[in-house]
Parts: sequence; structure tokens; C-alpha cells
Amino acid sequence: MTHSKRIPLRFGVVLGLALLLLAVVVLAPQLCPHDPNAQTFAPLQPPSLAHWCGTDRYGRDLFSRVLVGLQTSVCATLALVAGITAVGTAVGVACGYWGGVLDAVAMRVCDVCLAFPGLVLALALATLFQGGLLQAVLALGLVSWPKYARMARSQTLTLKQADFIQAAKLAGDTGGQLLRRHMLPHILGPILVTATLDLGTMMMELAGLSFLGLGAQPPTAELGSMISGGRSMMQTHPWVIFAPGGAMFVAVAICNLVGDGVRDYLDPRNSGRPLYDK
Amino acid sequence: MRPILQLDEVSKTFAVRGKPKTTAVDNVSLCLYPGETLGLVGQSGSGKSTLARLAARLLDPSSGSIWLDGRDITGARGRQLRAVYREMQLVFQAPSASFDPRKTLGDGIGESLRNQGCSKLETGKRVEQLLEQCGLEREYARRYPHEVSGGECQRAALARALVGKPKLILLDEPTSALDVTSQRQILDLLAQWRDREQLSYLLICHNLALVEHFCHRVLVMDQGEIVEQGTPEQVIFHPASPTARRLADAASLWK
Ligand SMILES: Nc1ncnc2c1ncn2[C@@H]1O[C@H](COP(=O)(O)OP(=O)(O)OP(=O)(O)O)[C@@H](O)[C@H]1O
Ligand SMILES: [Mg+2]
Repeated sequence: MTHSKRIPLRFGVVLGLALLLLAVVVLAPQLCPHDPNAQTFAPLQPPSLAHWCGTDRYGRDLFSRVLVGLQTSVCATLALVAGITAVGTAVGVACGYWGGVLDAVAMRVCDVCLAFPGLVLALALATLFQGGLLQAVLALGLVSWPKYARMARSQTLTLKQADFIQAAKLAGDTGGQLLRRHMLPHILGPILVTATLDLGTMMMELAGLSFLGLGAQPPTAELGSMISGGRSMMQTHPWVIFAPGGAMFVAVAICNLVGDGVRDYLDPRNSGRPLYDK
Repeated sequence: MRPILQLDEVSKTFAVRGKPKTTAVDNVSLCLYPGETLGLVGQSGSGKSTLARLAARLLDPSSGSIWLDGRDITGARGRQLRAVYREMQLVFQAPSASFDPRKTLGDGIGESLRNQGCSKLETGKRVEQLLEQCGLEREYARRYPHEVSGGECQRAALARALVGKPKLILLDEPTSALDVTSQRQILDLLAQWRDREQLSYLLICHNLALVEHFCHRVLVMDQGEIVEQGTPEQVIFHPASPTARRLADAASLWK
């Protein structure tokens, strides 16, 4: 009778991990045992009780920096994905619903964006914007929204033909009501799945831009730039890279697991329970 | 008397990419008077559903004009169109596809009332009352389209068409998913409504016996054109056109 499904155990665990990650991100400044930017005269210390992940070449506490760096990376990623999802969906739905000149223009722009490999175009744009975290987010956002616009548009086009949409017109729905009540709920599911599946990729790409010096600038703690900064010391002082690298790995893994879980959970072909709970 | 629905030389061509254009409805004119039931028969693909969608303004005609109760509604949009739908309703050929899979049947049936400013409580009552009249239990209002059978969904679709007390209902094979007794029930209900509220119906139907019993006049469609019209007796027992003869012959095979 009800439309709500039980959340299976595995997805529950993944969601728990994601919540934990979010809590760490939100509370990062409070959780830091040291000031992440305070330089001491003990550079490149291996992990110890005082410095759980050791210190970097300026003597800054790596554990604190990883926590704050995680906050930067995760927040930037969430903002980026939320932005491209919102913009892409809005543009796509508008194009599909109203069509015409708007559709033609927006879809040609999408064609251009999608013709290039995304990261390469983002690199070019980030270079053009001359570095900075906000600029990197903007560059990635500019090249990534067309995917969502395409999805939303094709879904809208198919839905527009559906009998139940015509029936809603017969019931006297205005255009806005039609969109809100009958179209968006159908479109948002797959978009949401794509968005969560994209979280990990986007986090990697943002870190990648930072790694190349086109994202967050020192001394801002950000995972990508921390890895980049520790690159030359990988042989001699591996913890300088392991700490941010490990955090990155865990965060991306959690994002991907959440994405998979959401996909299975919302999959219309498995309206009883998620596939992996058989 | 002024016709409630009038189509004037309406045509519809579909342009399918990579194929020659198909003319689904070709220069059709028809009149439907208040209280009258007009049958529309024809083979699969002859353009019956397209004609109904054109009349309901869900499709734009390629040419011709559509009149509802003396008003030209060919170009009606937005507010005007919503006013049109308070007088005219359509029952879709595929009932289960005509309900939003994410909304309950009750939501679907009551939507037009809610849009007209009816309170939730009042709408709920009216929906349940109508469901009962259409032969469904009240609790069906809380079910989702995938939780009911095709026939039950068809009854719900009828309830939805009737809920706003329209003057004209276009019925696209409204009994195709029902067994014979339920067909009879539904038709009796429709007849009751017709006599009480002066409702007019355009009834698309493959069952000639049913058309004979229920319709005042019958149109025969073939490849988008109206090839014959007349009383059910004329069309079914003394068909003039080859199409009508084929239909009548095929039907009598089973008698
Ligand atoms: N959207 C469309 N695009 C292209 N061709 C269409 C479209 N809708 C209908 N047609 C074509 O128009 C013709 C008439 O279709 P229609 O659905 O009106 O037939 P019908 O008389 O209702 O048939 P049935 O009895 O099977 O319901 C068919 O040849 C169909 O292929
Ligand atoms: Mg049809």
C-alpha cells in the first residue's frame, strides 16, 4: 500500500558511514587537535601520539590539515554537484517542456561541451580563471551541467507524451502544476542517482585540479593540493602523502557506495527491495 | 439545436522522421448534439483515438476547426483550455497509463476538483462516492495504479471523467478491459448519467452489439476518413460502404 521501501542493512551501513563523514566534515574545526595552519619547528615528523599523522615540511599537524582539507574538498564537491544538478535539471526541463529557440540554443551549447573530454575542458577553463578553489568549482561546473540538462530534457520529452500527463491537463492543471506534481517527481529520481554517483568523480576531479595547482591555493588545506605538495617526499616521508591520500580514498569510496545504494534503492525495476538484498 | 461538439473539416498529419507523412485523420466533419451518443467504429489504426485527442485539444489539428457548444476552441490555450475541460472530458484507451504511477487513484480522480478549489475533505467524499457508483470499493481511492487490475483501472478512469460533471465525454474504448457483465454495468451507469444530466458521449468501441444497443448514431472510419454514418441499424444491418460491410460481417461471424 505505501510507497516507502525498507532500507536494507547494507545500504543502511553505507548511509551511516556517509553520515559519519558528514559529521566529521561539519565538525572538522572542532575535531582538530592542533591549528591546521600553525607552523612548528618539528617538520616531517613521523606519526606519533602528539601528531597522529605526523607533520608536513612546515611542521604543521597533518591530521588537523587532513580534517580541514576534507572539509574543503567535501564542501566544494557538494556545492559543485548541487549546482550542476540544479542548473542542468532546470535548463533540461525548460528545453524539453517549451522547446523552440531556447531548446535549440541550449542543446547546441551542450553539444559543444559534451564534444570535449570534460576534464580537459575544465583544465583549460581553470587555467583561464587563473586558479583558486572557487574558480576550479566554476570551471568543473561549466563543463559538467550539460550531462544533467540532456538527461532532464530527454526525460521531459518522453513524459510530455505520456497519457497521465495529458490526463492531468484534462484535470485542469496549469503548466507549473503539471511540472511540479507530475513531471519533476519522475525526472528527479534518475537525476538524483546520477548526482550521487557523480559525487566521487567530482571530488577526484576537483582534487585533480588542485593537484595541478589550478584549484585551492596554499596555504589552504585541501586534499588535492596537499598530495601535490607532498609529492617530492613520497619516498622519504610517505605519511605526507598517505594521510591526505587515504582520506581522499575513504571519502570517494563512501560517495560511490552511497551512489550505488541510491541507484538500487530508486530503481523502478526493483520496486520491492534493492537488488543486493535478495 | 446547437451541437455540443462540432468538428469542421479537421485533418491531422503526423510527420515521422525518415518516413512519408501519415494522415491519421483526413478532413473529418461531425456534429454531436446534447444528450446524444455518437458511436465511432473502425479498424485498428483508422484514426479513432487521434480524432478523440484532436477533439479534446490534446493534439493540434493540421487544419480545420473544433467547436464546443458554439465556441471555437481550435486555438484555445491555458485558461481557456482549462475552462473547456470543465465541460469536456476524455477517457483514455489505456486506462492504467492514464494515471500517474506515483499518485493514488483517489488523487488522480480528485485532481480536477482540487484544481477548482474543492476542499480535501469534500473531494475525498465525492471521489469515494463516485468510485462506489462505478462499482469500486472506497478503499480503492488509496491504491496506486499498479495495485489494481486493468478493469478496475478503467472504472477509476470513468470515475475521473465523471467527477467534474462535464457535458461531454469522449470515451476511447471504455469497456475494452472489462468482462461482459461489467461492460453492461458500466454502460448502464453511463446511460443513467446520460439521461439524468443530458450528457453527450462520443463512444469509440469495437463491439458492434454494444454500439447498436447504446448509440443513437454511428460513424464508420477508415484510414482517417468518415466513410459512412447513420443509425446503428443502417450501419450494422444495411451497410453501404465496403468498410462498414467488412466490420458487420466480421462481427456476425461470432454470432
Ligand atoms: N504520435 C503519432 N505519431 C505518428 N503517427 C501516429 C501518432 N499517433 C497515431 N499515429 C498513426 O495514426 C494512425 C491512427 O492511429 P489511432 O491511434 O488514431 O488509431 P485507432 O483507430 O485509435 O486504432 P485502435 O483501434 O488500435 O486504437 C495510425 O496509423 C498510427 O500509426
Ligand atoms: Mg485507439
